[in-house]
Amino acid sequence: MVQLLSSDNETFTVDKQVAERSILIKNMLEDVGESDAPIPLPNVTAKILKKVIDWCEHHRGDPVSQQEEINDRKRLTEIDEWDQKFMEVDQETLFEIILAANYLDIKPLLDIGCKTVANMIKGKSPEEIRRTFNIVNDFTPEVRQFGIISHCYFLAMLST
Amino acid sequence: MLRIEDIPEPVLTELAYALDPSDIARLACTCKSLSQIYSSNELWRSKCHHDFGNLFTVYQILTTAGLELDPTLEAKFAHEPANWRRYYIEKNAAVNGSENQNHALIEEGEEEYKKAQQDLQSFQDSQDVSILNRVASKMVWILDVFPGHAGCYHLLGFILYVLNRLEESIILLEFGRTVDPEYEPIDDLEEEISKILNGYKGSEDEEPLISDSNLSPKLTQVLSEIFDTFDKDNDGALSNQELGNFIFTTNGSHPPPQFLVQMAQRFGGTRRNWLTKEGFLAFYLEQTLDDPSETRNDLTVHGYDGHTLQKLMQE
Repeated sequence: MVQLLSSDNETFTVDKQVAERSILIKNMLEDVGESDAPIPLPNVTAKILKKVIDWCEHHRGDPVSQQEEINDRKRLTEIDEWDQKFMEVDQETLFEIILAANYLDIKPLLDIGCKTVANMIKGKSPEEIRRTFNIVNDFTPEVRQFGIISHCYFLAMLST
Repeated sequence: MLRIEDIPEPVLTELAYALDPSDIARLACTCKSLSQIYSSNELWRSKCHHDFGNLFTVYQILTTAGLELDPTLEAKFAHEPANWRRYYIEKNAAVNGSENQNHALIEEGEEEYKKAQQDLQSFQDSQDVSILNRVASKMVWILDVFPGHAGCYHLLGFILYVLNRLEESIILLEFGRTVDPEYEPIDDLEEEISKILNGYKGSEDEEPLISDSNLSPKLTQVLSEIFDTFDKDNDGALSNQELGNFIFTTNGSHPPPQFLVQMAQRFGGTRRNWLTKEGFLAFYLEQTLDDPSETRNDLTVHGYDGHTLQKLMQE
């Protein structure tokens, strides 16, 4: 068993195998060796750490690298059902999970997080994307004009 | 409140890997900070490497290893494009176009691949290097059209292995692993090469000279001690006379003054072209990578055991 300490000082006790889905923790354990002291994770709150541990528990038996079909571009944004449910959270939590996955170096979780965000972006116009993520349009009017021109130009290039 | 604009750039780059180019373009139109990231050359470069592999590096590694690739590949991959976004668009059209419309091309690619495997087998008898050139060119050609073909990386890794370019071979095998982590021939070849590379690190009862492609901590310590012994005035650099003494003790002959200056210039010296400790260590790194046994010999001359790197008792 391994003890993990969140930024808000909550301790979680998890199986070593589960904790080692995080490459960061895995490397720490290798460097430090067996120890009872909890591992401090100053970038992750208890709320997010709990989510991340849930994910690691569910995926504990997964092979380290999952086979990806060669050139299968449709799979780019496919997510399995359990993960989809797991990612049904408010936007801020979603971003926090992504940041935690990045910090803890859990590549498959980072991938799923990015795919979830990607699915919220796909096919939307810039205005729709802004509304989805509350992005403030801070372009000057001149740049807006130019931005739209270069955007159209770019889309035209893509479709040829 | 955490917002998409606050997410650090490496993570936004990961996000780009999951998006189609047109979605990235629209995302870039939403605000200044996202526009900066998603229009940058660096982002499109990463996206290109992620989706299509890095054939520019592959080309460089192969040609540096002495292979003569087909001239058409030089035009394509000798120089990286200045505008990665434009390159992505062109490449995307070419790769996806061929995927959808052209089954014949897939078959042709597979046939070429099989033929290349046979060619490599015939190389083992004939030792005709032109076969390697031809097969390597073909592999790059197939990867240009089918970036996810791990088998091509495996054969390229094998060719470099045959040419005794072990470190470079590992790099290409790693490329292949990114494309298809489950392709076993890559693991097998990498294991074999790693065994050989470990030989450079010395046998079991020997102290390693190199770790992480740098001088090992123990060797660094021993060389520092030797440096300090010859740095009589303790100024952190070997004057021409001090360096001359060191080389005389090591090799038994006095080097020409020119050589001493060149050494300082090449590896690191003071303004007066006296070899610094960093320069001294840099020289030993190069020599050790080139011929580890020579470094072990040098240590013996200076009173250390060449195998264990321990100081010998002076009688």
